[in-house]
Amino acid sequence: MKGGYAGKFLRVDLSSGSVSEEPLPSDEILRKYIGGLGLGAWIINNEVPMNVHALDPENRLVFTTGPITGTLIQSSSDWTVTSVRHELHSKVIHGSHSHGYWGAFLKLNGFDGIIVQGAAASPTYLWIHDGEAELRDASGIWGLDTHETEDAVVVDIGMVAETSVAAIGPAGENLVEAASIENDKMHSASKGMGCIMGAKKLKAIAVTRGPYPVPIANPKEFLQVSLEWHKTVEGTHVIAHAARARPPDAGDAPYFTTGKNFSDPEWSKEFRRGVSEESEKFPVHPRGCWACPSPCAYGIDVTTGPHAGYEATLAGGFENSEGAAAMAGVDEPGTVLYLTDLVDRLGLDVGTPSCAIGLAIECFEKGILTKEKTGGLELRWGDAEMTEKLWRMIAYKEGFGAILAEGPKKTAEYIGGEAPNMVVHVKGSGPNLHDWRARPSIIVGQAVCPAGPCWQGSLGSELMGEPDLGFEPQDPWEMKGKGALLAGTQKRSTFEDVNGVCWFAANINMRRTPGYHTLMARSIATAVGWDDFSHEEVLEVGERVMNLQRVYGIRRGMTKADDLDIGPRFMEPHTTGAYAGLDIRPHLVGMIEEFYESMGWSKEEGKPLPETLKRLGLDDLIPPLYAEPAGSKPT
Amino acid sequence: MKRHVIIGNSHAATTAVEWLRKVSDSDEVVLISREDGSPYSPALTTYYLSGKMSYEQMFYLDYSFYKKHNVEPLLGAGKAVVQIDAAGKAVTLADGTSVPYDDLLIATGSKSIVPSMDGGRLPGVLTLWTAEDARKIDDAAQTAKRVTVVGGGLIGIQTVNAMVARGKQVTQIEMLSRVMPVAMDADGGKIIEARYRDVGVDLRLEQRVDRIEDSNGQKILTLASGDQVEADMVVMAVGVVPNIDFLDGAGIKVDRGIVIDDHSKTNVEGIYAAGDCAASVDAISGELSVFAIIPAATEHGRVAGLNMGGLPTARLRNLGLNSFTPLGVPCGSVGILDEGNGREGIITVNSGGDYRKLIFEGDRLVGAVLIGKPLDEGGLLASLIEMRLTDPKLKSELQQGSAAMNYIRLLAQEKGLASELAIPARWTS
Amino acid sequence: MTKGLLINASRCIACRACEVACSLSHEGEIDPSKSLIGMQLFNEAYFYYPMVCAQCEIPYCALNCPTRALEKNPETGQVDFIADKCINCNLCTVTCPFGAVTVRDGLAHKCDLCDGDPWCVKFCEVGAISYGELPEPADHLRALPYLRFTDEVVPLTPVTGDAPTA
Repeated sequence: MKGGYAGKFLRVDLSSGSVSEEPLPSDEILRKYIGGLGLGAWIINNEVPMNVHALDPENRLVFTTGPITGTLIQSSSDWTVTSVRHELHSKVIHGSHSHGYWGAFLKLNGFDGIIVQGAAASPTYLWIHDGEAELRDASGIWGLDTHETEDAVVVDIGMVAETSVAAIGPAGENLVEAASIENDKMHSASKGMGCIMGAKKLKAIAVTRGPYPVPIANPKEFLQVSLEWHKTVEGTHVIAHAARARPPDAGDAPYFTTGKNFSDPEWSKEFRRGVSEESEKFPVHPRGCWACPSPCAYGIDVTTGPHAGYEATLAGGFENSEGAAAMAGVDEPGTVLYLTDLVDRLGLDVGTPSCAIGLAIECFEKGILTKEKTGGLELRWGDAEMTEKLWRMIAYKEGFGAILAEGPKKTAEYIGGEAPNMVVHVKGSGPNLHDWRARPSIIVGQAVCPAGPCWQGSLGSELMGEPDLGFEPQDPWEMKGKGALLAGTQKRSTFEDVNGVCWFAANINMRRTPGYHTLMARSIATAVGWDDFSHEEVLEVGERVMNLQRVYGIRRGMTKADDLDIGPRFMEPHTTGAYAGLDIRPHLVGMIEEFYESMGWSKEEGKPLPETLKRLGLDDLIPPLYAEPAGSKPT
Repeated sequence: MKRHVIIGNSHAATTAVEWLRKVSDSDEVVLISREDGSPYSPALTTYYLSGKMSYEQMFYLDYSFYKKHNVEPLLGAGKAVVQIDAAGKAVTLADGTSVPYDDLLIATGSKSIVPSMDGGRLPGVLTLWTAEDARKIDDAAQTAKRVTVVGGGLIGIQTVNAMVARGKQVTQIEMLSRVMPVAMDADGGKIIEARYRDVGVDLRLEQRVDRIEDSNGQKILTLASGDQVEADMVVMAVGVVPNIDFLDGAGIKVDRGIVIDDHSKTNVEGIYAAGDCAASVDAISGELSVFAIIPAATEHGRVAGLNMGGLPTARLRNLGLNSFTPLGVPCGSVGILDEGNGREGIITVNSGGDYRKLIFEGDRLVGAVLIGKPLDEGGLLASLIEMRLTDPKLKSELQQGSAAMNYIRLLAQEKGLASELAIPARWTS
Repeated sequence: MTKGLLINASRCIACRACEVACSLSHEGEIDPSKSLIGMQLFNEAYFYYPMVCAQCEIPYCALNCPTRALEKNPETGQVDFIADKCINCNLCTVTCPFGAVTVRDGLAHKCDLCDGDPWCVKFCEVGAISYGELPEPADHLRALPYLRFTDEVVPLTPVTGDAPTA
C-alpha cells in the first residue's frame, strides 16, 4: 500500500476518556473492504457482539473515509459512519454517508477513521487538529440544535479557521431512532446514527484541516483518471452546477414526488411544480463539497411568505423537503425550505418520522385518529405550525411526538383500526422519500437492502441502463429480471459506499457510461498502488460487504419475513397519472427471490450459501451463520 | 535625444535602466560606477560568505546587461564621480573627465561605517558591504577559527549566520540590549537571539568595543566593561551611511540622505536620486527616512527611470520591507515596528517557533513582525498596510482570519462589490 | 499580451479542486497548504476567492529578487521562477502584494501556470478560474496589480493617492 490512505485510525474510548492511535488493518483486509461502509462493517462485525443493543456503550460508532476521500476525484467528499442501526431493532449494520469538508479534513490530520466506543459520563465533544485529538467538555453545548452546536464548538476551540464540525441535535440527545449527524451546516449522516452518538453522550466531532499530506501512489496516472472522471461527469450533473440548486424536473419526475402519506400523487406533482417554480425567485448561494463542482449544497434566502428573511442551508435533492413538509401537506415554498432546515437543525432524518406524521394526519382527517389519542392535537393537511410543532415534539419525544418518534409502523399499531393498512414503511422504518410506486425495483431495493431501507440498496438503473452490468434501460412495468438487475446494482452501489466518492453528485449519470466500473477500479489502483485492481473486483468488494452485512443481520434475527415487511400504502398502485395501475404486489415475492438467487443466497431464506461466502473469502462467517441459532437478539 | 547619466551600479541603478528603456529606446544612457564589474548586490555578500552562492553569483547581471539596454558603462576607480556641476549639467570623474547630462540619477548606495576606535583599521578587522569586502572576509575566514562580529543589525546577524554555517566559533557584540533593532521588534529579536545562543554563538549584549589590539595576529577586543574577547578575525558591522561625499557645491538637499519626492526627484532640476543614498517619505509613518533595502531601491529606481524616460510616474510604495533567514528560519518585518506613540502591538501568533506581531495605530494597521510560517503573509500584510484604511474590524479579524481574506474583504468593500463580506467566525474559513 | 489565470470569484463555489489539483500535480500528494493557488473562504457571504499569482505588470517579486530567480519573461509577460537561482531570502514573499509567493523547504514557490496548461483550470468546472489573456491595461506601465471579483476587471491601487511627498 503506497497511497490513498492516511495510514491510521483514531480510537476513542468515551468510558475511560482516552484517545489512542492504531494502525490500519492489513493490506489484505483493506483490499477486501476498501474503506467507508466496508471497513466500518468489518470493524462492527469484529467488535460488536450479537447481543449488544445499538444504544449500548459497547456498540461502536465507526467514522471512516475511503482511499479516494479528500482527493481529486470528482466529489470525493464522502465520509461514512457505520454502526448497528437502532431502527430495525438493532438487527443490521448500517453505513450513513455525509459530505462537505469533514472527511477530507480528517484525512489531512493523518486519520482514515475514528472508532468510538463506550459512553461518556457527561456531554463531551472531540476536537481533532494538527494530527492530534482531544476530548472536551460539551456540557454548555448540550441541548443546542445542530447549527448552533457547530458555531458554539468553533467558538469553544478558539475560532480556529477551517474547522468542520459534525454534530447531533436534540433528536440525537433524546435517542430518537431517526436522529442524524449533521455537518458543515448543510450535510447529514442519517438513518439513526445520531442517536448512537447521543447514547454515547458525544455531542460533536470537530475537525480542523490537518497538516499531513495524503499520499497518492501514482500521482501522474491518478491525475489522468481524475480528469477522465471529471470529463465524464461534466455537463451531466443531476444538479445544474453553480447555478440553481433545484430539483431536476425532467420527464416524469413529478410522479416520483411524494406527499400527504403517498395518498395523492397529483397533489405531490403540484407540490413539486409549485415549490420549484416559486423558490426560483429566492436567491441561491451554491457551495461545493470537497472537489465537487456540482453544488447540491446551497444557502437559500426565503424572501416571501411567513418565513421571509430566513436563510436555509440545505443539500441534496427533494427528498428532505418531501419529508419535512409535503408529507404533512405543507406547500408554501418558504415554509417548505424553513421546515426542511428545521429538521436538519433538530438533527433528524425525515424518512421515518415523516411517514408517521403523514399517517397520523391522514388518519385524523379520516376520523381514525382523534384528539383523545393525540394529546389534544388537531392534525390537518397543510397546517404548517402544527407540522413544526410535531417535528419539535418528535425531536424531544414529547407527548404524541414520542409515539411518532417510534416510526410509522408503531404509530399505525398505536392508532389501530385501518391505520396499519394505510402506512408507508419498510421493516417499520421510513424509506428514502420519493414515491417509488412508479419504480418497482427501488421498492424491492429498499426491502432487500442488507442495511435496511436506505440508498445502499436501492438505486437501480431501471430507466438509465448500466452497460457495465449488461443492462439496457428497463421498462418499469416489466417485473421479470428486476431482481437480477438489483443484485448487480446493489453490488456496485455498495462499492460506491466504500471508496469515498459521493454517488449523488458524481455518479448517477456515470452509471450509464460504459467503463464506469473500470474508472472506479483505476482510481483505486492509481491512488493506493494496487495496480491490478480490476472492475471485477469493484463488484466483488461490493458483494463481499453486502454478504457481511447480510450474515450479521441474519445472526441478529433478520429473516425473509422482514424483507417482505412493507407498509401496504408503499405498494398501492397510483390511481391517476402516468403510473396508474402499476402494481408490484403480485410480483413482490418473486422479485425478492430472484434477487436472493442472483446474490447466491438461498431462495427460501435469503441466507448466503456457503459457496458464496467461500468465493468471497468470508469462510469464517460460515460456521456462525449455520451453527448458531439465528437471532441472538439484543435486549 | 536625451542623455541620461546614472551613477551607481546596483539595484536602484539597474532597475532605473530597465524601466527607462521601457519608455525610451533611443535616448543615450551612461552608467558610471567606481567599481569595475557587472552589477552585483551588496545584499548577497552574506549569502556568498555562507556558501550558498559563488562569488560570481553575487553579480546578478553580467556585462551583456549594458549591451542589451544600450548603456555606455564607465566603470572603475578612475571613473568615480568627484563632483557634480548642477548648473553646467555635467559630472566630473576622478580621472578628470567631464560627462555632460540632460538628467542625472544618483544611485550610489551606501558604505560601511568604520568606527573611529583604536584598532578599527587593523589588518584582520574588516567591514562588510562590497563584493571586495566579502572577498577579503572569505579569504580571512579560510584560516580563522574564532570570529567576532561587532554589531547586531541586519548585516551583523547575516554575517553571524554565514560564519555559523562555516563552522566558526562566533562571538557577537551589540551595543543595545537586543539584536535587530531596526528590522525586528524586541520579542522577535529575543527569539532570534535564543536561536543563536542554541547553536553556541557567544552573544554579548549592551557591550561596546573600546579598542582592538593585535597580538601576533590575534585580535584582542577590549570592551567598555573591561571584558576581553579574542578573535582570529573581526567583522565590523555597525551600520552603513549614504555614499554621497561628492555632492559638495551641487546644491542638492541632504537630510541624512538625498531628499527625494515621490517621483524620485531631488530639489535640483534634472537630478534624481534612488536607493540607499536617498531619503524619502515613509508612506506609512509620513517621516523622512533612509531605507537601505532592496524594495526601496527598486521602486525609487523604477520611478526614476520612467520619469527620466519621459513618463511622469509617482511611486506606488515606500515602506520598510525586510526579510532575512537566520539559521534557516524565515524572518521579516513590514512597515512600522515600534510601539508607543499611540501605537499598539498585538501578538497574534507565538507558538512552535512561529511569531506574528501586528502594529496598529488606532484601527489602522501600520506594521508587522513575522517569524516562521507567518512570513508567508508578509506581502499581504504590506498590502493591507499600504491601503491605509481605518477599519474597526481589522484588528479582531486579523487574529482569526488570514491577511488574504482581509485584503479581499477590504478591496471588495472599497469597490462596493460585496459590502457584506465578513470573515467567517463560524466553521471553515 | 500576457496569458495568465483569470479569476472570476462570483462563480467560485469553494470546492477546492484547484488546490488539490495544484498540490497533486506539483508535489505528487494532496496537501492544500502546498497549493500555489489558495482559497480564501467567506462562508457567511458565500463568497470565495482563489488567490494566485497575477503575473503583475509591475512584478514586485521579480523586481526585488536579488538573484533574478524571479523574472518577468519579456516574451510571455509571465513571471518565471528559476529554482536554481533562489537563495531563500524571502524578499519575494514580503513584496508580493497578493501573498502569491510563499517560501517552503528553502525555496520560493509560485504558480508556474503548468507550462501553459494549468491543472487547476482543468478541474474548475464552474469557470471561476480560466487561462487566457490578461486584460490589457490602458497604460501598461502604470498598470497595477489587480484582483478580479466579477467578470469585470477591477484595477487596484495598493497605495492610495495621498502618499506624502518630500
